[in-house]
Amino acid sequence: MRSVLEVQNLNVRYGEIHAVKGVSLRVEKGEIVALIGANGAGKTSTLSAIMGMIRAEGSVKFMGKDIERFSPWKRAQMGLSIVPERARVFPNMTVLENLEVGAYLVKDKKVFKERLEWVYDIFPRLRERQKQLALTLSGGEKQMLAIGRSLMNKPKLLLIDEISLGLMPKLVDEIFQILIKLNESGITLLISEQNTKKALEISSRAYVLQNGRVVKEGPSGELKEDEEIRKAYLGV
Amino acid sequence: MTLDYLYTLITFSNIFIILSLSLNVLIGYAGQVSLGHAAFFGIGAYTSAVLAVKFGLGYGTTLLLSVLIGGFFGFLLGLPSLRVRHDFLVLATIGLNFVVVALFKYIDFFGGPYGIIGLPAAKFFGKELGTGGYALYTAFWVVIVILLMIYIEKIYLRYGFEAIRENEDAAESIGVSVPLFKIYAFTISGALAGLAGNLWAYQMGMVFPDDFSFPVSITILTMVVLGGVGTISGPILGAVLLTFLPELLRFIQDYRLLLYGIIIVIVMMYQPSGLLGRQGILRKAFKR
Repeated sequence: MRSVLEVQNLNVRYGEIHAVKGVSLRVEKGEIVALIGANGAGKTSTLSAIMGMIRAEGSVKFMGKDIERFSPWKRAQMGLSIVPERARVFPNMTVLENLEVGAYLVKDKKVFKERLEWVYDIFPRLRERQKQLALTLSGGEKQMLAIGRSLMNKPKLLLIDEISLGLMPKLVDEIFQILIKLNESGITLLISEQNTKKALEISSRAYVLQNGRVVKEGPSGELKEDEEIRKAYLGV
Repeated sequence: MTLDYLYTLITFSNIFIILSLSLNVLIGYAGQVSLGHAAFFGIGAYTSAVLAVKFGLGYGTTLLLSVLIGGFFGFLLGLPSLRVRHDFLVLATIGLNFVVVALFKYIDFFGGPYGIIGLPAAKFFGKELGTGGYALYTAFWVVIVILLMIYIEKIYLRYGFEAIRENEDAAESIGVSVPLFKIYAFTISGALAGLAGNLWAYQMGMVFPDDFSFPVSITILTMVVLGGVGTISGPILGAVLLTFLPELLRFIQDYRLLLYGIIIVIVMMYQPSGLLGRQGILRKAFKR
């Protein structure tokens, strides 16, 4: 079977700092794959590089095509999307406008309406707040809006960076439930998470990053039982 | 106040409405701050002056070429903006303004410091318009430009532009081609400033380098900021206010730039979105 995403020997450098050192990973259709690791392990850099938002070396294949030379908007047009760290919604635009921009590539009005209803069904709170400026939303609502904005383009692969960052535990549970639902509706997910426990619960496979390198990988169920991981990340 | 004087003021006001709306495309929609907008204004004016005086071309041709060449230079400035970001771009636009004015001043072809004089009056179907007619004619262009702005806002361009202004990375990640939209913005903005330059040259009958110097860029910027960045009504209000106020308060004339500086500071402190911006006092007053 052809992988949705295949990354080989990815390297990201910020000047002197070598943030991602030869990371290789793949994501199959229908999976939830997690990137776990401590702060500064290179998770965000890896996702940003896959989206093309930062300069990187190495091979990135999406749906069997080499995309490493494509700009982010080109990748978005191919069906790749990212929910960036801390949501990065457009603060001075209303919720609805944010979603409209998300549907920037959707030219058909009917399709747009369907997608909008779909997103509103997933996040009823966005419907309630559709006329509000995005900057007035709470942290959790901003994350929902960021996901909703990505969904408007119905991505084949959704990259989600640190969705749980700064959210209260109850909201984290809620958002992770939604991620599972999204996955069931056919969207493949690659998520980066500091919340290792949650990430391993919802994902089928995971990669553990440390100092920019993949130090472990495997089915999430196995990693959960791994002695080192339990010590280092699960605090057991 | 004679009627002719009033017509002339209306013409100036119309020209500055077009200038501030064109700058607003850059600042308000694309989020690209330019402090050298007068350069494009000057390029448009000098294009018309050179073509009319030195080559004897008719009004229609000079108008068209002012717009095209203004747009072309806008496009050229847009190219480095793809690499240079925000603060560097601001400096680059200031530099551009000084370079353009210097070229007008020191190259004989452009008439040097004395500029180019003796533009014939614009003729339409062999007739001259007179001051009143010309004011009306510039008003016609204001209407066209406003319609164009409404069109740009309505069509999804607006979302592309706004998304870029708010966050370039996020915009790119949802499929908005930032380079393309920046180039659009710079080209449209340059073309409209070129149009304003043409209207100015034929109103004055002459062009001087200093008419397009850095303080003029600041004037245009003040109009946009005062009225409300990113709106259509804001830059219009700003242009009208700042054209008529100094005329009514003659004693301010010499201190114009000081006044503009104070206006920018006060607006930034108390009305950061401008009088007609989203949080502006005038917008709220109208809503009530």
